[in-house]
Amino acid sequence: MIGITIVSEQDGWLQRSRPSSAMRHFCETHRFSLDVFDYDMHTFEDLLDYMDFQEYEHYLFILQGEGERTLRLVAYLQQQMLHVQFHLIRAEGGIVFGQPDFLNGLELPLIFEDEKLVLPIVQNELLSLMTGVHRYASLFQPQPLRHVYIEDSSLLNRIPASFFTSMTVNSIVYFDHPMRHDLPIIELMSRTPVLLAFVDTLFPPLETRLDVLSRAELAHQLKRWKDTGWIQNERFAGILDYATQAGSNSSHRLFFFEDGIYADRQKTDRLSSDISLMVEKRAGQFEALATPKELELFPLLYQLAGSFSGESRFVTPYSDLELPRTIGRIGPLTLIGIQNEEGYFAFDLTSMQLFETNEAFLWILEADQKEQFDVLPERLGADYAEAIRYYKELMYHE
Amino acid sequence: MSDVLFGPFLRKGSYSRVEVLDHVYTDERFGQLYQEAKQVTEIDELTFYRRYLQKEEKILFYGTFDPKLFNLLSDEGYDLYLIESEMIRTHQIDTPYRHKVYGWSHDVTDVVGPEFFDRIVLPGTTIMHYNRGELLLFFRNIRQLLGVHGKLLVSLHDIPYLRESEQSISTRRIHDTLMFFGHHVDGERLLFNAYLKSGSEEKVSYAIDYLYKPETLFEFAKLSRYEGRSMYQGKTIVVLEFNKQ
Repeated sequence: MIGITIVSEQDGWLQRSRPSSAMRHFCETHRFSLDVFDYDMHTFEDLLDYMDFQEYEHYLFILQGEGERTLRLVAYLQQQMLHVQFHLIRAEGGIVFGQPDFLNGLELPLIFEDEKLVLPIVQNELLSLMTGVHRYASLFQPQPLRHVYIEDSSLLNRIPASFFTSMTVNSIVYFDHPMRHDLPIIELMSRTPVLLAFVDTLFPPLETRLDVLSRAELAHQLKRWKDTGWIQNERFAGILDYATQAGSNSSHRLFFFEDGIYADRQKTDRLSSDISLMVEKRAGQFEALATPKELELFPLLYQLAGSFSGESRFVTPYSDLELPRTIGRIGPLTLIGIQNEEGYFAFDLTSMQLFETNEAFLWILEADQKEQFDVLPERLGADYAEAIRYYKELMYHE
Repeated sequence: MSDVLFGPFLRKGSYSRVEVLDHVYTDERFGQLYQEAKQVTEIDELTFYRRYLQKEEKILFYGTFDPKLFNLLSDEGYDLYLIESEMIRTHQIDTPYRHKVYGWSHDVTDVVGPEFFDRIVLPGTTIMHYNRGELLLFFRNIRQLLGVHGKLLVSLHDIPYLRESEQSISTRRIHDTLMFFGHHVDGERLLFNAYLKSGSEEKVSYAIDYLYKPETLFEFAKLSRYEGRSMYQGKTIVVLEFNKQ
C-alpha cells in the first residue's frame, strides 16, 4: 500500500494542506491512499499506529514551505518503522528524504492552493500553555497533551522518553532558561521531533504579556462582564493560568518543576511529586466560575479589550446590556459587538476580523443575539428600516 | 462485504484473523465509538434543550442520549423519559429517574398509555439510522405516543457538508485497545467503519446511516400527517420539527 500526504510548515508548525482535485484524481486512479492528518490532534504515537494500520510499504510527504521540522518528523518515522519506506519531496519536486522510485516515472500533479498561515503561531501556542486556554478544549476531554513547561533542561534526564511521543505533533516544550543545546536537549531532539522554545526566543518576554489575577479578582471581572458587558485590560495578551483559576477544562498542558509535576504555572495543583512518573492528567480542581460557554468566550473578549485603549463593552448574549442576558444561542456565536472610546466595532469570529460599525448596528446585533427584535422599532425610530437593511446585508448577505 | 466496508477496513475485513461484526453494538467498544461519531457538535445541546423544551411538558428521548445531560435536565425540573436498550447507559441514569427509562417503545405504550407525550426528541442524528421503509413505519408508530398537538424533533447531517468535508480516519486508544474509525459517503448511504486491535484480537464492524434532505423528510412526514419545519440550519446540521396534525 502506498500513502501520500501534503504538509505545509511555518515556524516549525505543521499544517495539513487540502489536496487539489488533480491530486485526488491521481491517487484514486493509482489506488494510493491520500491522507489528511490533523497535526493539532494526532500524537506521534497516533501517526505510527496509523501507518501500521494502513500497512504501508511506501509513504510520501509532499512539503510546502519550510521543512526543517518535517524532515525531523519523517526521519523519526523512518527510524521507528523500518518496514515502511518514507520519502519527503518539495512541492517543486526536489527530493529531501528517501528515494521515491516506487512512482516508476508517474508524474505527480504538484499544483497546490496557496496556504494561508496565521502569524505568530508559536507565540499564540505559548500563550495557550501559560493561560490554559485552547480552541479545542470544548470539543472533548481529556485533550491530548500539547504543551509542556520544563523549569530546567537538566530535568529531562528524569522524564521518561516515552512521555514525549504521547504529545501532539504540533506541540511545544518550553524551557524557562535561555537557549542552550546541552546534552539532555540534544538527546531529546534526537529521540522525538518535538518543537522547543526557550525563554529568550520571545520578545517581549512571555511573562510581561500576562496578567496575574487571584481567583477572587477573576470572579469579580467575570461578574462585572456579565452584569454590565464592560471589561478592563491594560494591554495584556492573557491571564496567567486562567483556565485553572476559572475552573474550566485545561488538560492539554503540564508543568515540570524540580519538586514535581503541576497542572498550572503558579503551582497550585500538584499532580505528582515524582517527575519520572507518567501522570493521569486531571483538569481544574476549582468549581467553575461561570458556564462553559462563558468561560470559553471570556479570554477572547479580554484579549480584544487589551487591543483598545480604556475599557471596552462587549455585545454578546451573556451580559446585561440594553436587554437582559440569556443563556446563549443555539448555534455558534459568529459576531461580537464592541463599544469603547475609540468607537463601535464588530469582531467576526469566523474570519477573526474586526470592522468598524455604528451604535444602531450593535443595538440590532444585541436584539438578534437575544432574539428580541420587538424592541427595535421604538429604539431605532425613523432609521429602523435602513438600519435593519444594512444589518441584514452584512450578517446574512441578503 | 465490499458494499459496507471501505478502504483499509475492507482490507482488514478480508483477513481470516480479523472478525467481522455485522452489528456495532455486538462489541461495546464499537458501539461507544459509533455513538460518539453520531453526536452533534455544532450546537450546544444543553442550551438548545433548555430553550426548546418546556418544563410542564412530558418529553420522550427516543434513542441513545447522554445520561449526564438527562440527569442534569431532569434535576432542573424537565419531565424527561427515555427509551434506552443499552443496560450500561441505563445504570448511569440517576436512581430517582430510572423508572422513566424503558427498553423498547412498546414498553412505554404499555406503561404510560397512548398519546402521553407532548414532545418526542430523537437525539443526535438517530433518524438517519432508518431506511425509507423504516422511516415511514416510524412516523406512523410514533403517532400513538404523541399527544394531539405533539411535536417531534430530529436532526440531520447537512449532505453537501458531508460530501465536501474530508473523511479522514480517526484514532482512539482506550487502555490496551487501539481503534480506528471513519465515514464514507456512498450514494445515499453514510457508512461508518471501525477496526479494533487488542493483543491478538482484531475486529472490524460497520453501521449504515441514510442521507436525507429536509424536503424528503417533510414529504415522508406528510404521508403520516405531520407538518414539518426547519428549526435550525447550520453549517453541519439541520434541526427539524414535525407537528402532529
